[in-house]
Amino acid sequence: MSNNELQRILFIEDEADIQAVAQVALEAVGGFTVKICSSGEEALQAGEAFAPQLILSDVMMPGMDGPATLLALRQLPTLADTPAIFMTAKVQPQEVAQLRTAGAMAVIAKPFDPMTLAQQIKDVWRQHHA
Amino acid sequence: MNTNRHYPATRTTRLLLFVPWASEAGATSLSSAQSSTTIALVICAIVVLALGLALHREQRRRKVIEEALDASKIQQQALINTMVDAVIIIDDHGTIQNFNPAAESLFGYAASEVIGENIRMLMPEPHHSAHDGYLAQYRKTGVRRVLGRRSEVEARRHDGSIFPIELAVTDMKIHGQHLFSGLLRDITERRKVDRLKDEFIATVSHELRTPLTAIRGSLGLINGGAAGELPVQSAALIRLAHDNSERLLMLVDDLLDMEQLGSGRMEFRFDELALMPVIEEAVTENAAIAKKHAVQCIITRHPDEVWVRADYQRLLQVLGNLLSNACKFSPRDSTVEISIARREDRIRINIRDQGPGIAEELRLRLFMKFVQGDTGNTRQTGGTGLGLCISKAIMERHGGEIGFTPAADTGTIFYLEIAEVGATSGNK
Repeated sequence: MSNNELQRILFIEDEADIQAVAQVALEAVGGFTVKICSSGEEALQAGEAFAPQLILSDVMMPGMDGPATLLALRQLPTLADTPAIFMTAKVQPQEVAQLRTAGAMAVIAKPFDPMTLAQQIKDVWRQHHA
Repeated sequence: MNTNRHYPATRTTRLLLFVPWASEAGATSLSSAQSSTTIALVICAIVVLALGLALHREQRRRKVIEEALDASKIQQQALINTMVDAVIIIDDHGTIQNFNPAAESLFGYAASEVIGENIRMLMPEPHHSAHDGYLAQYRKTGVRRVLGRRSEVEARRHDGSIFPIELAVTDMKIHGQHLFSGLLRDITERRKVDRLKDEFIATVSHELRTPLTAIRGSLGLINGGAAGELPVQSAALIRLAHDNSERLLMLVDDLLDMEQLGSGRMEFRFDELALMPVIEEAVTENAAIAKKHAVQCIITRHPDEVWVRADYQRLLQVLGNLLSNACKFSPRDSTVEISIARREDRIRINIRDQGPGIAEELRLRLFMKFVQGDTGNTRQTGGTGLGLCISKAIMERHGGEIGFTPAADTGTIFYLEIAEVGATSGNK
């Protein structure tokens, strides 16, 4: 396995049902190792220890939302440059642009197709490292 | 003596009677010169009287017109004064000529405080500084910025507070003077309602999508075999549930699109873009639907390079809608043909299916909301009935067109028309 191959994903999502679907989509279908956090605060506590290669985060969450969570994670030395992808309901182009400005390398529309989610993430990862 | 006295009296009588030729014994004794003078005098008198009469009539006519004009002016002013909307009339240098009571209460100024002043005083920046320039530009070029259409701008009250207004401006010429009449309405409340509506839609969208994501995701994983093999009957039921969750999701998307298009809040990002990659992407995205209906989509002919000004995602959405419709209504093992052609400065994209064609009774309503080509109890194609309505609205925003014609032998040709832009000016 090359160093560039994506393996470890920190997944931040407040909805338990979506967590369950995404876990199967990412672990069983995609073969990734996933750490699930239910809030931005939890991600700040557990994020560094997990040492993710990619942060995959929901946008609308109670407390810290996706962009605020990413901003806070960026303050942690080991996560300062970790690539991030946001997942959010179909949004207007301007909102996508804002999320990209907030530090996301891609925005995946919700609801996602669980059978192709892993491949979508791999494609973004490959483009990012091309 | 009697004769002498009688003579002038007789002449006077004749003059007064206007009958100089009346037979009278004494008259025959008048010389011909006297007779000519008399006739001339009589004619003059007639002309003077006729002129006097005509003048009198003209004066009366003018008076009637002036009274009618005064009445019309009073009526108009009364109408302006009682209007619920604010009315402001300015000349072509921006000087306020008329300021109705609704405008007084809207802006907090008395009419006497603003009449004769420049309209700039009611505008915040940037229009405050730029308005004289707009008028000068209009006087010079006739280019209209706000004339003849409704616009939403900001206005400034006497106390300095700024508020949103809807503005409709029309122009008129009176005695060679150019005047502009503006109808203004405070839309502060409407903006508040719009904001609430936006928040509501965002919330509903999120709340509907979250459970739908979980439902569709779970079914999608089972359907895709991520949870192991299922008995044939269970697999069929799961597929049915999965397909319907997708349909429900499509409906949520379409309803949101409809709402955004209807309220003018759908964002468009126009770029100059090459058309063929958009069409190829639409065909690729539609591959699963084409496969499901055992239909092949092929691009039959197209010009070498075509550039259009469009929103990539929205154009893709329209093409996707037409392609998926074409596949849904096509018989199995048939072909959907896509051809692109130039028509002067416009590009026409034809999508031709070999389906049963559009029923006569649907032709006029096909682009209306919730109209589906496949109605009745045996409906097999699915869909929300909003796709074509949304596509039409999107094409209108592109200054383009969408329509259909029956194909010569069988099936239907749906087409899109959009303006072509210079092939060398594109940058994407």
